[in-house]
Amino acid sequence: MDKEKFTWLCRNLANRNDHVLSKAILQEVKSFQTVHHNKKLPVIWIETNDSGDNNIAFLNSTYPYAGKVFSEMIDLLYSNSFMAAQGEEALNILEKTTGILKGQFTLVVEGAVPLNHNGLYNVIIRTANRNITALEAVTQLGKLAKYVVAMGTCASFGGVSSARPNITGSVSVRDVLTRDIINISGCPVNPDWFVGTLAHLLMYGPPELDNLGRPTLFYGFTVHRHCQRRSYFDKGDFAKRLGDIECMFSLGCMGPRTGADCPYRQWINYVNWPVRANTPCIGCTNKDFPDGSSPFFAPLNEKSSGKDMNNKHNSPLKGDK
Amino acid sequence: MTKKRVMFSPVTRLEGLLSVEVFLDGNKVANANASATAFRGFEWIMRNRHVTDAVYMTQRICGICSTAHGAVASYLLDELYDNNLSENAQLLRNIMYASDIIQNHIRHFYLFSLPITCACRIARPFTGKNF
Repeated sequence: MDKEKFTWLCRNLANRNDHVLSKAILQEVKSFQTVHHNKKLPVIWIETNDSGDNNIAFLNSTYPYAGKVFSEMIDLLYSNSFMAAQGEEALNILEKTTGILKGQFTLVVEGAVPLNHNGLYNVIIRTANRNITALEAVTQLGKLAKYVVAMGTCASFGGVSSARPNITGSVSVRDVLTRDIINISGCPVNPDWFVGTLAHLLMYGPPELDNLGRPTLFYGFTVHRHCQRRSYFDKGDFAKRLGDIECMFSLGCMGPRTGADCPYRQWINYVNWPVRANTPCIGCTNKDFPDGSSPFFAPLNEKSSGKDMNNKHNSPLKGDK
Repeated sequence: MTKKRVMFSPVTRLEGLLSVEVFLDGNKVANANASATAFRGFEWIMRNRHVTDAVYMTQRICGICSTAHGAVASYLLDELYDNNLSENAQLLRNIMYASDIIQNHIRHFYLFSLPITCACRIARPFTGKNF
């Protein structure tokens, strides 16, 4: 199957409930692997300043299951969360594999990179005589990797780790490395966005990216565009309080300026997503999340305008005491 | 007898980063330091934000137990706003929190604790290949 057809399938079958898309794609991956001698994507997965939410969200992958991703799709060389080895063994594996697979592995960075105090706010490994900081690991491994994938909003844009006042000086992976980086933003990422991007890297190479470096396949349209409550918005019917059935634009929904496919892809094994669960979108895939989205329950025009704003907003929440 | 220093880092299969430093005096542990080596300053991040943001912001503290943080934040908001919570709402919250605990236990046991007891200690994760 060529890339165009693959993309077309992803776009058009995504909102079907009977998992037609997954079935189509899994078969495709399987036949690709048979032709290519079970080629797998070598992955080194570094966890930096984040909450570990992305790897937990990734475990929610169901089509294919996370176990299948590990055993058939990727060749996980190092991961703080998933690897069996620990201590010195883990460090040895990291050193050896980066040497052997130089220029071949995919570096997945999960989390922002703190710069203050030479990056000492995040030490990924301590050896007997020194600390290996996230800054050092990301810059060194970033030079050797074939692809760099920034997983989650912290790694892509700084996210919550770099929210004001940002005393650790956390920045995104893009600010540390001078090379092409695939951003998969989201707090956390939807497993499909991550697994889908890895599959694309494996079969077709780097995917088409938008102006923020994210795959257009998943971030091409705003949440607002496909929202189930869009008709309420068009008619000007707005919710007055959480739990109302109308459009939650009035309650701070970030949907109109958030690129993601949540309304039809949905979360937790394709069951639900924030707006259907009666809570406004907080724009977690955005470049200015969370400062640009806060206060979360204030309408768009009353939100603070991003990371430069310092303590300027004063509780515009409706019904506030 | 001289003290021997053992550095155990990284401690894998847990949320976040951890290193343990052990000082041995013969066959006994004389001293041990555990260091959690990631710092984001959430105490500072939470300041000067609207109080209702706490429910979503605190969930970003930890990806494993996010529901616990969110639940506590919402309990505090109830007190702050003098909310009268209906019984069903309270039950829903309890169910959410309980499911969080259950999934935590399942994941911790099968994914995070079990590999240490298996023979795959020095194998790369899941592939069985050695370098």
